[in-house]
This record gives sequence, C-alpha cells and structure tokens, in this order.
Amino acid sequence: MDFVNSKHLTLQDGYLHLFQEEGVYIYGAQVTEQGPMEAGRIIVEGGKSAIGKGQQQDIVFHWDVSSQRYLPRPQDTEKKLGRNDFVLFHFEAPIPGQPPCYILGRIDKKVAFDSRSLGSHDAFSHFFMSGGEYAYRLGKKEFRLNVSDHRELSLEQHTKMAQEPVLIVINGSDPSVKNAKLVAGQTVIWAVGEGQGLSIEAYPAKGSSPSSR
Amino acid sequence: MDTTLAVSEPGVNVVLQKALALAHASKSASASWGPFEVGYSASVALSGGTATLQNAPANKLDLQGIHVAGSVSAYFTFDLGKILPTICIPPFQVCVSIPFIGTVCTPQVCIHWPSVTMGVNLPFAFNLDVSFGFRVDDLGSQWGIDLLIDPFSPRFDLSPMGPVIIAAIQAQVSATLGTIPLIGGLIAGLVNTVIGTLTPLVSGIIAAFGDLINLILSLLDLLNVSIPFTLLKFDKTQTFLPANVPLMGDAPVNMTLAVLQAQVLDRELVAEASLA
Repeated sequence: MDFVNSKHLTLQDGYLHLFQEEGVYIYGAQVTEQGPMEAGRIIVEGGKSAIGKGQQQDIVFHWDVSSQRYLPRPQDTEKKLGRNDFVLFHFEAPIPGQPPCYILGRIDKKVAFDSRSLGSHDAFSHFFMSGGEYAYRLGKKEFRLNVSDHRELSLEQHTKMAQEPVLIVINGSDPSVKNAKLVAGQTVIWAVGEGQGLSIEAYPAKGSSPSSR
Repeated sequence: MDTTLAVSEPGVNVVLQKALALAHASKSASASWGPFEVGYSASVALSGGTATLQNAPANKLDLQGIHVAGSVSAYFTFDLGKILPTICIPPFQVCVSIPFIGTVCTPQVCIHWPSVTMGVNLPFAFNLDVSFGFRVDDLGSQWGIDLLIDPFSPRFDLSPMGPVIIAAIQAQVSATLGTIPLIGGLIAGLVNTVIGTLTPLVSGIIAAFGDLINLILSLLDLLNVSIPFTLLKFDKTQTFLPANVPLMGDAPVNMTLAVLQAQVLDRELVAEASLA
C-alpha cells in the first residue's frame, strides 16, 4: 500500500497553499526541524483576482545529495504571485535515499504555512500507485478510500478514470466524500474549505488485506 | 614377498560405490555483474560410475560414468532505477476546479523504480570420467592403499541455464512493473531494456556457476587432487594362526607387515607384504 501522510510528503504528494496576503514569504522543504530553512522566496504583491480565481504556480523540489537537503528548481527560488494565486509544491525525479519532508513557509519569522498542519484553502494531493483499502481520521471519525488495482480494469477504462481526480473538500472534520472509490493511477486532492491543524494520515483499513508492491 | 592380499575388480567397485554415496558437498558465493548482484550456492552429489582396473605396468583405476548431479540456487537482486530511465506519470495533466482555490492541475509523479529480488533454481547433471594411480601410505599402525587422482577437467555445459535465467528475470520484472499504474503500454519496452542489460552478462554469471561447481568437485575427498583417497587400509600387525589343527603350544603369532607394494594383476588389486 502507498504511504499517505500529509505530514511526511513523498514523491507522490503535493501540497498547495493559497496566498491571500501580500508580503515576502520564505519557504523550504524540511526534513527535520533543525535543518536549514530557506530554499526560496515567494513575493506576493498586487493582483486583482478574487478567491477561487487565482493562478497556479508550481514549486518543484529535488533532493540534493551533496547538501542532503531539498532544493527548488532555479526558476523557483524566487516566485512572484498576485494575491489569491496559489502554489503547488511537489517533487521531481526520485533520488535513491531521499527522505520524506514537509513544506514550511514563514513571513516576518512567523509560520505562514506548514504542510503538517493544513488550514483553510490549503490542499494535499496524493497520486495512488497501489491499491488497497485505506482509512484516515478527521476528528474522531474514520473515513475510507477504496483503491482498486488498475489491473482489474481495461486499459481504456483505467486511462479514463486516471484523468478524473477525486476531489474531497473538508470543512471542519467533515469531508465531502466519506468513502471514496478510485483506482491506482488516480490522484486524490483533499482541499480544506474551513479548518485548521488538519492532516491526512492514512493507514490500512481494518479487515482489509493490504496489497503489496 | 611373504603374504598377498587381493581385491577383485567387483570388490573395488563395492568400496568405491560406498565412497561415492558419501560424496556430496555444497558451497556458496556472491558477485556483481553490472547492476545485478547475484548470491549463488551449488550442491553436488556423485553416484554411479564403473571402476575398471588396468594391469601393471599401467597400474590404473579408471572410474567412468560417474553421475554428477546437483543444482545452483541463485538470488538476483537489482535496482531497476539503475537500469531504467526516469519516467513520469501520468502522461497527461489532470485539472480540477476547486471553488475556493481555483483550477488546480495535479503534478506528474516520477516513478521510483523498485528493487527486484528473485530466486531461481537451476538443476544440472553430467557424467565424469576420472583415472587414479595407486600409492601405498604408511599410516602409523596401518598401511593404506591410496588412490591418487590424475588431474582432470570436467566437461559440462551449463549454457542451457541462460534462457532459464533470462525467462525468470523477464517474468519477475514484468510482474513488478505490472503493479505500477499507467505504464501498461511501456512495460514491454522496459522489460526489454532490463533483458538487454542482462543478456551480455549471462555468460559470465554461468561461468561463475561453473567455477563454483568445479570448486565443489575438487573439494570432494575422492576427487581431490591434493589429498589422496584411502581406498583400503589394514593393520600392520596381523595375527597368524597355524594352518592345521592347532597342537598344544601352537599359539597365534603376531607378525608385522614390514613392506607393502600394490599393483594391478589380472584385474585384481594386489597388495604384497614382507613379514618382519
């Protein structure tokens, strides 16, 4: 089964943050609390977009073996956004031994965003590579994801499904889809409408037999 | 010579068959060929064969048609990431509209190719012909008649193992890649890439298996060119009894076999000794 945990991002994950406030943000992909912080800057200024109408920008990290830290692509070290634009942080080609990480952003030395603690207008995405019955908790309730093995479908069926991401909107501890059904090769996006301090940490559902890869 | 001991050719066969029944050994090794790490062990057992004695002056024992059978267990470990190119999926970008964020397009994910570990069992069998000379050895309180094997080079062909190895790895890689979504159309090409990397290395891998089998053969007592194999041994001191009905005072006499010679006469192994 996949490792799905928004507190420990892997190659299959993405973290999205919407920038509503102007300012200069310092960001990094942290492996540990003690690691070096600044990997790049995001400058938010101007912009006339309303919430929900902003543009996507991508910041793509790679694991730098010599410095043992995640570095962004050169073009991502300084990003300029307008208000209500959003950034999707994700990863490029795998390097053997690269560890999971989390994305941290600061403004004026205060934490502005943290992938370990999803807040309103943040999102976490995971591209499922292996099937299985996954469960995760929001508050005290457990919710499920039934991920079929892609080999159970024809190539055409699978290709069609893979082009349809599964969107789960979370408000508080209430997801819009309680029991999602998808197939390996699909991406699930958990988008937080309202909420603070949330995380998605999936585990094999009780009574399921985890498929192995 | 004062006394003679003879073992017939069938008798020599009986003794040798007992030795062959005990001749089995195994050994293991490991090495790397390109991205393929291979741990392998081989076990060998001997059986069958027919011994014939060649009269003096040849004084030889020919052992023909020894059946050598066994298997090589090989474990292949290889990191597909060292063989296959980086591939990112899905081949299309997927976008979804989120009311309070905007239109979000999901990233491609670059595949972290897994490592593969797989075992394959490769049986083998061949026949071996060897020749021995004789030597008498002083073993302290005993005489020994030893066999000294003539240096030999077993001829066997392990090349049929090649297609078996390739087929096993092909099947395992296909199964491993089959678990990764959205690369169905690429699997055949990716498997070919792995097999293309492996194929030039297979002959070297099989040669190493052959070297290990040779090493094991050379370690078997009967086939060891450095250490003589004692075919027969008997005490130097023998008790002799009177040939006729013992008379009062004709006690058994202990006599020592002082000098021993061994040769083949009339297809019998004949040991002649002088008494002291």
